[in-house]
Amino acid sequence: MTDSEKQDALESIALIKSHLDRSQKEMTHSGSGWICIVWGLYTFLGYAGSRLLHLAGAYLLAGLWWPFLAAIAFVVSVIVIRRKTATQSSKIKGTMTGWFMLFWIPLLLLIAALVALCGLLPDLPVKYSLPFILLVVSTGYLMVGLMFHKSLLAMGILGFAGTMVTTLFFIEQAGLILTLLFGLGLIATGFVLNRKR
Amino acid sequence: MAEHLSTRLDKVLTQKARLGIMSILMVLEEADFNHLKDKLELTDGNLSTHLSLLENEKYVRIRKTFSGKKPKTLCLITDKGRRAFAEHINTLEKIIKSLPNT
Repeated sequence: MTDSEKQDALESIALIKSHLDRSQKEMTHSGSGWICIVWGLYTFLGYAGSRLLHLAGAYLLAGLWWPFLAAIAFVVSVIVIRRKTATQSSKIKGTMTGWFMLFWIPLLLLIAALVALCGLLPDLPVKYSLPFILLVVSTGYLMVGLMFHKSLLAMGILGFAGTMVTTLFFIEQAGLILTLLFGLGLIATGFVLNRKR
Repeated sequence: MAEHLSTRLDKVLTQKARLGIMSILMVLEEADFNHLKDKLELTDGNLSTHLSLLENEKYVRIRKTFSGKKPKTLCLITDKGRRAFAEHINTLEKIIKSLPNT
């Protein structure tokens, strides 16, 4: 066995390891960053739009603004998944679709929280409604994160802690602070996930 | 012994590009031609040649499909390919271990 043969063997192992690691990472994070960015922008546009419509006195439109934007964000997310995975394996497509579904479980909890808010807590002051909803959503991310994905767990912890602190100390500015926290948190998570690829 | 081990290396997989293709397919199971081309930084012709060799050895299967109206070439790893790849890694590890100071 010559030195060059030994060197070849070491190089081959290093090459295999690097390809295996990169493919594995790609499968774990593929496209998930873009989904976070889309929903981070949704948070900002949702808050800004509803505030402006409130100021203009268009209360009905302000109420419809969030679900209208959610529908658009959903369609954009689906388009992003299709475009980002057009040349990738079905395994990556499956991972990304799974990630998208995990992302949606807490949002379904949001709808449940809204129903509960209207039906069970009719006397809850309006200023506490957003922190209440976000605590439910953060709990959802914590649960899903514990079971499936540590990025979602981090989002849940950050969301839960941020909502608690804001509610306790800055309740009058809760709307703006929580929008910044959740919007920037999602966009930052998106950039981190995209950079890991 | 070391001499014997080096002859046991799979000649098809000693080439770096083919080893790269197989490494990616070991994780993804299947990959689009363009995906492999991007990841391995190969030209169309180069990648086609390597894939043909792997297909001849029955290490990969090539499937032509359509994505909408666009033609698409899918590369899938076979069981024989998986076994050959695992054996190749085993032999590489044995070579490294058989040498002093590694």
